Amino acid sequence: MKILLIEDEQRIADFVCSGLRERGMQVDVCDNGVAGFERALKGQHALIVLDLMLPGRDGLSVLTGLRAEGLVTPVILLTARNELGDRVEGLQRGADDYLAKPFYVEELAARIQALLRRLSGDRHNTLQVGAYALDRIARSVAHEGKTIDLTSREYTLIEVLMRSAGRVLTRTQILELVWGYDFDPNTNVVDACIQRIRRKIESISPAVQANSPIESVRGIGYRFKAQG
Amino acid sequence: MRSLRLRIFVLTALILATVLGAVAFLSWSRAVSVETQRLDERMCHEVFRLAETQGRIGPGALDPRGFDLLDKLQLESPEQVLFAYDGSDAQTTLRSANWPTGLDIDALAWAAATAARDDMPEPRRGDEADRPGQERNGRERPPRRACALAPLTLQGDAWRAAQMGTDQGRAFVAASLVPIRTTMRQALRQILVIALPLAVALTALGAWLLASLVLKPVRSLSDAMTAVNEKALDQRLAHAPFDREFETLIRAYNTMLARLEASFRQASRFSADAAHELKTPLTILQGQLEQAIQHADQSPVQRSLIEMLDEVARLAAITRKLLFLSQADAGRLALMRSRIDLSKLLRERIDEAQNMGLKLHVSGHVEPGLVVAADAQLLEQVLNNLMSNALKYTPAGRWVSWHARAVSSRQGQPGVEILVSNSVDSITPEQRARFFERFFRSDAARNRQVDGHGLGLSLSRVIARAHGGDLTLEPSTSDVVVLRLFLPRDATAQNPSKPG
Repeated sequence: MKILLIEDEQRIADFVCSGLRERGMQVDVCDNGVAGFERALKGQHALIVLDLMLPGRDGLSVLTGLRAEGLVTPVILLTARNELGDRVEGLQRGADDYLAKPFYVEELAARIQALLRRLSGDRHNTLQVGAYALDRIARSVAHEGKTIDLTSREYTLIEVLMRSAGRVLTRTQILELVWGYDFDPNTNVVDACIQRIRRKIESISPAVQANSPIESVRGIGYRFKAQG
Repeated sequence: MRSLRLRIFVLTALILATVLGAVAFLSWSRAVSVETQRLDERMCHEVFRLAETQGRIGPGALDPRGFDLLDKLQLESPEQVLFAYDGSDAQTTLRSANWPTGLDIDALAWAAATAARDDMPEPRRGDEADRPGQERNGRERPPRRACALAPLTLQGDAWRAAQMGTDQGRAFVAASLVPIRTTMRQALRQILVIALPLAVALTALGAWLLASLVLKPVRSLSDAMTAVNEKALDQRLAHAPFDREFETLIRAYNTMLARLEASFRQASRFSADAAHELKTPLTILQGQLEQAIQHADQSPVQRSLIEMLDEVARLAAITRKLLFLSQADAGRLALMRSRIDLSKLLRERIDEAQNMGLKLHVSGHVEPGLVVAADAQLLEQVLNNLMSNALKYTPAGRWVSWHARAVSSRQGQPGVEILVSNSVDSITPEQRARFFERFFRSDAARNRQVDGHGLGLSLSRVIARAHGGDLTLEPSTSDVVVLRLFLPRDATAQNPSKPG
């Protein structure tokens, strides 16, 4: 699974590369639009991560060019301008997803995996972590076959944690990924929500009590255990 | 407010009235002078007759009636005419019965009649034949037979006097001007009674029509400007259908639009550049911090890394909101509308707030089946802002309440009204006035160390307006804050966030 990253800012390219490589992806980097376009046209990549503001040729023009050449490789746009203003145009020109800067590599990796999964024809769209199975279509989570009754928000939270299983997410990251950056009440909504999810899991499978899949990492945040 | 129409009207009326007045005055003086001249002619004629007949009729025949003097001069009573004849032989001295004492004919300011001279009847041939010694120099009339005229004032009344000297003697006739002046005054009065109201009405009508005529192109120009205004800033006003006189105005308007457009473009280019410049370092910071926390143990260093990551996230959120606002201000807010079950969305949000474990009473009254055509992501932002705003600023132990129902807007547009009320300690009118101001937070909010940056409501209002709705602060008692969000149900609502 090879990914092409077209990004002119060296330091952004660096941490995105290392972040994705840590998650087992191969990454090629291009630092300008013209070279990126040539490279993408060879069709050797499973997915393209494309920055919108590029020297040489800007991202939208590269995207339009690639689609005009008949290239169907999925494209994730990285936009530094207003994502709400640019998203419509980007998606209209054939992008599959977009991510606003600044973004978490965690989130980028999750989006890449979701796109690739969809491309590989995974119709069930499930995610299995240990004894826990997440169904993206039904938006439900089951433990050893028993479905846990979750609200929409609780489901989103557990999905965010499960897709990054084994990795720690801070409260702010969780808040932003689950509630959005414009939701900032003064209390710890994340902690309250995690407590409720834990209780719901325990009520389904009392045996879990001592060994909750959602780990509190003191002073940092939460982590879904990689092996249940 | 000053009215151009009124000013044009008044000015036009004044000019028309002045012109009318001048015409009336000139006609009047012309009429008076013509009338005076005709009188002079008659006077000369009569004095000539008197002079002619002197030799043949006796003094008794000079009675005004018999002599027809009254009728000829168009007078009514003998009191209004004087006549006299002085024979050159000093034997005949005739005075009319009403001759006033002390009237000296020679003392009057005599002037030779001019205009009347040519019309005067020729002296009879017989007279000339009788006096062969009389010299005749060419075509010139002998001066001694000339008619002379003079004004005369008797007992305060104006009279007109005429005399004519002949070889036999001198004839004198004077007529009172009172009857003729009375007649003319009466005529004038009649004219004024009929003509004056008519003239005033015509003047007013003319002035009004003129004002309308002048203002009509101004109105069509302003209509065209409004039409251009409602479109984008890159529209320009065409010169074609307007009068030549408006060319400068149109050019100035177009220049102004061009300058506005340039500064708007500059502003949005600035925000795009600022976005890039701010977001690139933020992305690098956030990415590197994110990586660092995964590799560190639970040390104080890691805790400070997390605090830094949180601050970067805050900074990023502010940057996003600011850029969103600046782009919305520049009218570049694109909406991706879809049908949204607002009832379901609201119930989820309220349900969630109730289960957050907050020390607040959150209640919700949501009508079922509320559907709007809106941009899901932006609507989510609005609801998030309204909810987190209410939760943040309500003191512990107090209440937050949501009401949602189908309503019609003030323009009769069907839509959804969402009222978010929350209990507060107190809100001052000054705070109310500044509620939607960017970066405004009440002192109470600052004192209670509430996290936030005062952009949420401004942002929500921009989004609501982009959907053809609005977000307003409703009047209430000072211990309650009520925000009203109206969203039109109709997907065809215009996008009103265009500049200008």
